[in-house]
Amino acid sequence: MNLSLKIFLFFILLLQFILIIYTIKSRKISMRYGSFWIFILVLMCIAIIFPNIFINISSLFGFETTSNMLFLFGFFFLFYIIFILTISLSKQQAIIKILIQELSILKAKIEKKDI
Amino acid sequence: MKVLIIIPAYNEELNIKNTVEKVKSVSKKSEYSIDYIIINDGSTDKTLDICRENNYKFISLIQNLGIGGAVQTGYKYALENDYDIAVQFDGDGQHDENYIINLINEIKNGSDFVIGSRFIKNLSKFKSTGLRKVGIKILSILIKLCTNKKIYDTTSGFRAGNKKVIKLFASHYPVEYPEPESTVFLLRNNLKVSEIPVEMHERKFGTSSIKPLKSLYYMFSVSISIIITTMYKKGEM
Repeated sequence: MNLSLKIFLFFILLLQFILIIYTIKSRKISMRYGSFWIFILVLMCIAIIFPNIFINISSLFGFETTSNMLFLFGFFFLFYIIFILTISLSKQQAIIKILIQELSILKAKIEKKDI
Repeated sequence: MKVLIIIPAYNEELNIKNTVEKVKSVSKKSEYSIDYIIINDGSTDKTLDICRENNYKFISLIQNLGIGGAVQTGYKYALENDYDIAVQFDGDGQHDENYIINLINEIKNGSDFVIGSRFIKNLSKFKSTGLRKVGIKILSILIKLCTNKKIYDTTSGFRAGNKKVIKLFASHYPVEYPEPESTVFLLRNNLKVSEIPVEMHERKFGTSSIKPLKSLYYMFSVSISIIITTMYKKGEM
């Protein structure tokens, strides 16, 4: 990996980093998830500074090229993230359903008392 | 014996008045104390106005939840107000009010849950369209395989349950296409489920909420839900 590529990648990571910090600060994302994304960025930084780590791991597993390994694991990672998101989505839906039901029952009770 | 008739209604401005008046007439004739509650599932037409004008008893959901969420609201209401029996009765005029008493009697005779069925004893002239009948049959076989209990009309929404059922459904009721899955849920909880013949009519006005294009995916996802519900151990649910 040559120096100009490294600098370019760092520049992109820096932009990502600023974006995440800004999003956390403006409370659009909770601290819990924000810190997770910062952790991912730190991992990426390490990958840029010491690319040999990944090259060694991939040859150890028997991948033909390092990029193959990164794409495969990247895919697994994204799949897992989306799966977690659908779990969280289902939970939200269940909670919202209960809220709508209870609120509507309560509203009906109050309206009945008014009459 | 306190009985509650749960009438879920989504955009039923043309049918709701008729339905409620029919239910009221049953309640007058009956020896039990029969109440009803309309669950207006966030209708965008005049359903809510009609309920208000006629001074009907209703709960109006502040957002549309789908049939499962609406019916469950009725069960929650039944639990809160200590009803002994809850009857599900669709707001679209498909169900025949004369059979409400039969459902109630069947529960008095010892069943925990009764399904009004189009497919036993051939009372009902209106059954269903061809493909949907095949779907109902397949679900019936699947439920038989999973629970060892034969349910003929797996998708019937004309059903009644006792206090045990009210309590279970108030805490757990599927959101989409809930009938087959909820029946398996009760069977897994070792409740006594039975089926009695009823008549159903074609809906007078409006269109049904189930679209034919979606039905293949519906079959798939309902089958999965039945199998997964069977996998729960007792008390785990």
